[in-house]
Amino acid sequence: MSTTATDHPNAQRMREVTEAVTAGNVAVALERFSPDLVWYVPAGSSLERVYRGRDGLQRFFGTLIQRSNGTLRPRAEDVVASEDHVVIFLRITAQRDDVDLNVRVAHFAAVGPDGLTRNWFLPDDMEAWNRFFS
Amino acid sequence: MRAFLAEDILWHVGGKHPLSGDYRGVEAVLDYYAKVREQTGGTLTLEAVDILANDDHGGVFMRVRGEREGKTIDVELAEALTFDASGRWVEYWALADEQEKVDAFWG
Repeated sequence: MSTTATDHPNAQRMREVTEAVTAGNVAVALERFSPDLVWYVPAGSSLERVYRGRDGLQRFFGTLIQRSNGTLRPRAEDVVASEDHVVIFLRITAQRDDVDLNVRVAHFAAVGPDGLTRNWFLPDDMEAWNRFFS
Repeated sequence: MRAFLAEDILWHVGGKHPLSGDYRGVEAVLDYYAKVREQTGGTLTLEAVDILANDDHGGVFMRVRGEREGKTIDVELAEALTFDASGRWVEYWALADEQEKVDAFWG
C-alpha cells in the first residue's frame, strides 16, 4: 500500500492525456498508455465494452469525438496517484445538435512500467452518458 | 460507517445488476450495505490494495472476494471519493474493471 501525491508523475501523466484529448491530439495521449492497454467502457452503453491496445483506444477516442462533432471537452478537476494506480476526476462536456452532455466522471487506471495499462470509468449520470453516445 | 458519510451523500454503484444505480443519503447507503451483507451471508471480504488521497478526493483499489448462492467473486474494485471540509464522503463511485463478473455474481 502506498501514500499518494497529487503531483505524482502518474498524476501528471493522466493530466497530459486529458489535455491532449481536449486539444484533439489523440496521438500524444496514446503515448502515455502501454501498448498492451485495456480500456473498459461501463455497461449499458451502445459503445463496445472493451478496447485493447493503442489502436483500440484510438478507435474509442475517435468514436467519442465523432459522435460529439468534435466538441468533447474532458477537464481534469483533480487527480490522485501512486506508483501503481491513478484516479482522475473529470468534468466532461460535449454538444451534439440540441443535446448537451455535462457529467462528472471518475476514471481509474492501473500503471505498468510502460504506461497506463488497465483503465475503467464511471460517469455520475450514466443515463445522460448513454443518451448522448447512443 | 455512518460517521464517514455526509447526510446528503450521493453513491454511484456501476454495472448492470440489481444493486447497481444511485443511492442518495446516509440511510440509503446503509440500506445498500445491509443488502450486500444479507445477500452474501457475510462472506464478502475487502482487501485494500492501494489507497490514494488528498484533501478533496480519494481513490481505493481493493480485492473483493465472496460467495452468494453457490457463486463466487474475486475482482478488483475501484472506488472514488469526494470529501467535504470535515473529511466526510459526499460522493462515491464504485466500479470493477471486469464488471461482467460482478453483474453475474449479483444477477
